Amino acid sequence: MSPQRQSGRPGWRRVALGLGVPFIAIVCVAPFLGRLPWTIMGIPVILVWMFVWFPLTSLCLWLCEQRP
Amino acid sequence: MMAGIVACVVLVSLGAACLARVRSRHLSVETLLVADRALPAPMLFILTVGEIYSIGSIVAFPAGLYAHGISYGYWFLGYLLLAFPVGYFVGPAIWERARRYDACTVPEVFGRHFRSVVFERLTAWGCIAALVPWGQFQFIGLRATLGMMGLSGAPAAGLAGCAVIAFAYVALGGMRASTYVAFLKDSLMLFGIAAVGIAAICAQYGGAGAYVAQPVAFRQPAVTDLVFAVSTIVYQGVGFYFQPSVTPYLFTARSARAVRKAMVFMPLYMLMYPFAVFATYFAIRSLPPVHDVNGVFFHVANVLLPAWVVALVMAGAVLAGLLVLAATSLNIAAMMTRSIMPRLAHGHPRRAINLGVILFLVLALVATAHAPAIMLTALNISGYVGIQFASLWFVVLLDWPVSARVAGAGVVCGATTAIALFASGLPVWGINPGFIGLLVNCAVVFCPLWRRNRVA
Repeated sequence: MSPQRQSGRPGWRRVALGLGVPFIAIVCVAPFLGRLPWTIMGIPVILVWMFVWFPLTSLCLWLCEQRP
Repeated sequence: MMAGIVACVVLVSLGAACLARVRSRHLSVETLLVADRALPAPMLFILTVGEIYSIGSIVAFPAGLYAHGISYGYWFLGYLLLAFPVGYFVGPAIWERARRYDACTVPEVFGRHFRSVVFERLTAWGCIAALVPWGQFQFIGLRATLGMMGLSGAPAAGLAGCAVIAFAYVALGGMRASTYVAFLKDSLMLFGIAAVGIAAICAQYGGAGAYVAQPVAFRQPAVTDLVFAVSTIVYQGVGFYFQPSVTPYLFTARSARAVRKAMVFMPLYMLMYPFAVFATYFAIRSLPPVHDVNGVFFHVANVLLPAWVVALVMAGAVLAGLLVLAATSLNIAAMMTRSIMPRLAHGHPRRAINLGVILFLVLALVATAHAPAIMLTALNISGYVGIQFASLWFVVLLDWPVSARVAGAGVVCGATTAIALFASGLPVWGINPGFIGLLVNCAVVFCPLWRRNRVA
């Protein structure tokens, strides 16, 4: 087991991948999409963006879990 | 027929709770409150999503999207989605602290960390203040659902029946029974939301031509709307797992690893929301305006689906309300009997918890019947109080040397600021009042620490 896991403190790379990437997508990028007038299948782009990030957030966390 | 199908589903749920009782060799207080800290990752996942996605997912989310538009949908989905990565990192640490202090409730963690019985008692009162409106909200949602089923003639009788069933879940197996019932509820809820969403997509794009989509000009969210949405996402997303209505579910896990593994898959459960969004936009574009926005999702279901499927959707909503009501009343009763009045529970802790559950359910039932409008305001306020406990968790998790007095002052200042801003309606560039309250809270708690470090 790595020292990071032993100490219970996650490494900064895991935090960046598991928390930073979804945070940027949801909090930093999405508001700009909210100002766009386009829709996809009648759904505003910002909501479609959020839908895409449901599985992508799981993927980020899964990759975190796999990291030694 | 609808009432019959819902009644059958509720009976099956009671059967599931009985199964949980049969499978538990003993029913100690720990079994009741934290499922003996033995739930593996899949069961923790089922329990947590079962409790997080309450009746609001079927009633409040489509209604909010219908009435308030894109910005509502953005912050609702955004804070839930952000909560899981935060939970992935803080959840295992919360579980570890609960185990270290042998705590079954949130106030016990605080009381034992700060080594103060008085602080435990005060935080218990604070947690109860945040939890009561949440439990009450389930009653209000249940009443609305019963009304949509055509059972509005005797609402008090219907709600009394709901209270009895919620008590039965608690008495039969506590948190473990909730897990078993959650499996049934999640299956029905996923099925119901997906069925309505797919029916809406087929009606819109199936080519039958029965439902013509009217061109709708989507209102662009104003900058203040987006500021509110972003501040709400950060505030609620970061604070989600620190709320007294959510934290106790983490205590039931078998290990810190089980918490992490469950968190990995939590966002996938949100894949039901695209179907809810499709159904709502179908109502906006293709159906006449709905008078009762709370019933918009059921209205779409009624228009597009056969009665038996609508009944299953209703059953999912009823189970969601009952499940959260049961867990919330158990949580409140545990705090009452273990932290506030421990002498009353001496010798018969399980009986005391059951009495506490009955007391809360009766009082909540009376309040729902007489003052529902006040309770909705209380629910808003409780949202501002619940997440203020985040500062206490920061102190506990980071082992920072902060006294109980300073930590308590931070929570009080944060909650007071948030409630004052909410009550006065003072616009602070559209920022969520709770977020400002949390900043004030953290400033009160951590600034003395920072100054002391500088002097040292």
